[in-house]
Amino acid sequence: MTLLEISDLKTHFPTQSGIVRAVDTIDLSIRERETFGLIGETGCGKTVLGLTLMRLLHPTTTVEGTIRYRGKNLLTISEAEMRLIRGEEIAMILQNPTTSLNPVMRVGEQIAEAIRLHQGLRRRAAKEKAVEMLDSVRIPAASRRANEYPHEFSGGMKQRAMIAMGLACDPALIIADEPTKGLDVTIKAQITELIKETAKEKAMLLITHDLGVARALCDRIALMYAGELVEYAATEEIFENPLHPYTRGFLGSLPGNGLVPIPGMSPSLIDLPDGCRFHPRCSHAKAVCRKKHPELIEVEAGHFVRCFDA
Amino acid sequence: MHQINKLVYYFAILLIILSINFFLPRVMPGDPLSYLSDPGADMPARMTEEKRELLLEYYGLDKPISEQYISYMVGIIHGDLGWSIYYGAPVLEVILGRLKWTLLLVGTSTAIHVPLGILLGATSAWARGKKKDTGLLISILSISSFPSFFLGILLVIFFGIKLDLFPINGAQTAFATYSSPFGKIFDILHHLVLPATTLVISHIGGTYLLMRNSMLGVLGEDYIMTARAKGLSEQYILHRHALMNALLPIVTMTAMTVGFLIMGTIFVETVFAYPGIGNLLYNAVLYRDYPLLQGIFLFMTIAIVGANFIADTIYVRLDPRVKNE
Repeated sequence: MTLLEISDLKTHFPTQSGIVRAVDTIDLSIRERETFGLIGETGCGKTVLGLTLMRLLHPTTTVEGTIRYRGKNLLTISEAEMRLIRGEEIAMILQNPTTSLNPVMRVGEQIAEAIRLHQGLRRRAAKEKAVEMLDSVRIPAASRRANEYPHEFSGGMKQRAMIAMGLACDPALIIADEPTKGLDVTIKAQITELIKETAKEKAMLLITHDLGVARALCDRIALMYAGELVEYAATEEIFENPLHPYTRGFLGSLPGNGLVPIPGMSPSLIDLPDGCRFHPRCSHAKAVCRKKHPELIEVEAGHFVRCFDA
Repeated sequence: MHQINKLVYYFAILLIILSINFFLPRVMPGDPLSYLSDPGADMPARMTEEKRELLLEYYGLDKPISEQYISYMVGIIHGDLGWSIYYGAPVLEVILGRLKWTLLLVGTSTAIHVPLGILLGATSAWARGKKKDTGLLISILSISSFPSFFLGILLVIFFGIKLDLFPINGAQTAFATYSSPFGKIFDILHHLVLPATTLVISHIGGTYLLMRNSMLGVLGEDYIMTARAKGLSEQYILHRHALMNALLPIVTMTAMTVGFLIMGTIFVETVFAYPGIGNLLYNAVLYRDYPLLQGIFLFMTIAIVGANFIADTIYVRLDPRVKNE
């Protein structure tokens, strides 16, 4: 069953130097209880996609297309309706827990406020629920920790607290933006394990550039390049049968596969190359790649690729 | 423990200030009597050497500097700040008589301009770039940039003389008898309106601008995005998340401007003939009443140190990160 269906989604920012096409025509759907990985280099538009789904971008941003969540188009409902969806139906765990927690508010209160709002619990009951949530993400001595401030938490604990905050109102979909960024290896493994457990019950859009984490957690994976999806398929299919040169390059840059970087840099989202957006960095680029923009085609059941070669 | 450390720290600052207050006049060449006794000076009358010695002995100025320092400190501990030349009364008594009026004036205007500046600054930042923001920015900056004495004179002309709504000098009606204590309170408040308004207008710009900038910075922080992602309303986010964080620099600034506020009262109290410290300072300068000047400076520095202490205490309550450092 489809939970979230995105079609023809475009998110453009008007700036003084031109229009930034951060998300440029994206179609994808997330099923109930599915973990969907969105992978790409920094600046490819993956965080913007997450924020677009939550409608958290600045009002001057132009967003086109449809985002259908349980039949409702999130782009046309009122702001008041959208607020009821945020946190309660769809929760987003923002990246950088250090800056994403309010430094002058107790951690427990930052979790409890969402519980009071969405579940109508009284102050004390919400506080108890917040402590339960901290306990469930395995923060030791949760009732004491709930009364502490973010600066008293370690990096891993802050990330756990962010996860607890996202889970607090039992949302159907969680958008997790780089939840393992900046954590050392052992903590990363713990957080990955924690996300795996929580993702069993819920649908998740996992935004990351860490293929290892994506492989451990995701049912399906999509590769995003310069604002569009270039390939998506079931996780094992991506790892065993990568078809797009960008996907292959990304896999080749993994430590286990020889650490071979993709040459060149990702293009500016203001001034995108003609034809295939990846052709300036592609070793297989042909004449057609420079002129025509390839469509996303289904090469096998459930395996989509945007490449003339596939 | 932390509080005790801080008290020791502030006590040390006070000691240094007192010492500077003592040594500064004494590092200047000569002594208070040299212009009267210098044999080369072109003076119609000259103090004899015996008379000079007598006076120096009377003021204790013939003693070694360390002894003078100790007796100065002992004097201060006993509340003895010396004798005002112009008023012919103990300096402490003169200052204390005026202090309540300045406290009333500065206290009232601070109690109005700080919260008002915070409110308007936050409103402006929240409506950034909209008409409300631009309107507030332009109007507050333009009225705040009037010099306070000029503003005071304008208020005197319009509200005091043309419209005859408020009294224009003094802190209360001279020789008045009141039928009830409320009559007296009303009279004092009535006299307070114009000078307090002048101070509020001339100081609100700083608070407003700082709050607006501080708030704009805070609104761009990641935790504000987190709060939005939880589905919280904009009003709630403003009050519970943004305001507390944006207030931090305001606390520091308010403490730091206490000195400027007292300086500001010099003009305002002079324009309105308000019998406060500013007015007293003006007279002390005019009549070269050095003991009184020194006493006023001492009170001002104590006020500034005190304000910093209060700000320090409030800051710890507002920002939990400071506590453990």
